[in-house]
Amino acid sequence: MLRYLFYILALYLSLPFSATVDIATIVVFCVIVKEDARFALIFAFVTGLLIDLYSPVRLGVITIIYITLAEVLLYLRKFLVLNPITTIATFTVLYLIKTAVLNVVISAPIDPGTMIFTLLAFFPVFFFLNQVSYGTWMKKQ
Amino acid sequence: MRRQQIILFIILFAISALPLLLYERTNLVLARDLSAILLYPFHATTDFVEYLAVSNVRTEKLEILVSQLKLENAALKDRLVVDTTVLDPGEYELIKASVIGRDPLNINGYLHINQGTADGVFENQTVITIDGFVGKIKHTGLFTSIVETIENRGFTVSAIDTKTGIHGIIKKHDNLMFRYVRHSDEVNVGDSIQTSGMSEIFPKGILIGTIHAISESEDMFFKNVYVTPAAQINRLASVYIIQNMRIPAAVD
Repeated sequence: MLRYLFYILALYLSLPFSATVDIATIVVFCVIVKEDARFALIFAFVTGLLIDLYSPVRLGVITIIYITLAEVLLYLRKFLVLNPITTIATFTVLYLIKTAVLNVVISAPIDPGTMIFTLLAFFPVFFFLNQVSYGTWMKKQ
Repeated sequence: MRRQQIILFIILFAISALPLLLYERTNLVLARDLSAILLYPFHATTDFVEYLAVSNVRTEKLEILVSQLKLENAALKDRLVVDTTVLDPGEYELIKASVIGRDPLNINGYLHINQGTADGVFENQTVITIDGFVGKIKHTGLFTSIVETIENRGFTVSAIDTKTGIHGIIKKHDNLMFRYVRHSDEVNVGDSIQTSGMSEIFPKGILIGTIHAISESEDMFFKNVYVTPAAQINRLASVYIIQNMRIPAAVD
C-alpha cells in the first residue's frame, strides 16, 4: 500500500517537469512491469488523466492512449525477460509509440531534447523506484 | 484474473472516452473543474512558489528603496543640523546678500557683497551660508561690504570638535587647520568642527567643516589637524549676515 502511495507521490512530483523529462511515463512503465495488473491499469488511467488536466487539450485523449499502451504492455510483459537491455528497449519502443500517437492525435510537438533526456533519465529513475519499493536495484519477476 | 483485467480496461476506456463525446467547451469546463480538485496540491504549491518569487522581487525592490531612503534621510538630517544651528530664525536675524565681486589677487580670501551700512551691515558681523561658516565683515561701505572668508590666509576663529569637545583655533595657513590640539587629545577624521562661541564676533554652533586628515607634527605639544570647510567659498553666489548676535555672557 505504501508503495502505491509512493508511486502516486512520484507521479505528482514529476508532473511539473513533464515538458523537459517525461518521468511520469517512466513511473507508469515501472508500475506496469512490476506491479499488479489492475493497479497498473488504474495508475495508467490516473497518470493519463492528470496529464490531460495539467495541459488540457481535449480531456480523455491522453488517458485513452496511456491505458491502451498499459494494456498492451501488460499483455506483453509475461513474454519479457527482465534485464537492462530488454527493459530499456521496451521502454524506448513504448515511449516512441506514445510520442508518435500524441503527435498524430493532438499534434503534440516532438521535442528531441525531451526524448533524449527521458531516455537518459530512465535507468536512474527505474533503479531508484526499485530501490525504494523493493530495496533492490532490479527486481526479478 | 485476465477477465477482470479486460473488464477493468473496458470500464476505464469508457470513462476516458466519455468526455470526448461532449462539446469542446463542455470538455474544457469539465477539465478545469476536475483540475481544481485533482491538481489542488500541485496548484497550491505552484501558487506558493510564484508568491515567494514575487515576494522575493518585491523584497529586493523594497530593500533598494529603504537604502535610498536611508541615504536621503541621512542627507536631510545633515541639512537639518545645519539649518537649525546656523539659520535659526528665532535666534538670529539674517540679512541676505549677493556676492558681487572677488579680490582678483586673493579670489577666495575676500568677497564683495551688495549690502552695506545702509542695510544694517557693520564690521565684524558673522557671515554664513546654508552650508556653514563663511567669515566676517571686514570693511563696510554705504551699499557694499567686503567679507574676509575663512579661506583668507591668517583668518582665525575659535572652534570645537563637536564629537570629542576638544577646543582649538581654526586658522588658515597653506591649509585650513584646527590648531592647538595636543598629541594626547582625541580627534578623529570625519569629526565636525563648529564655532565654539568663545568670541566677541562669532556665535556658537556654526558648522565650520570636518576633519579630513590628522598628522603628527614636529611641534612638541600639538599635532596637525586638517579641516575641509563646509562652505565652498569659490562657489558662493549669496551669503547671510548675522545681524543681531548676542554677545556672550563673558563679554557682557
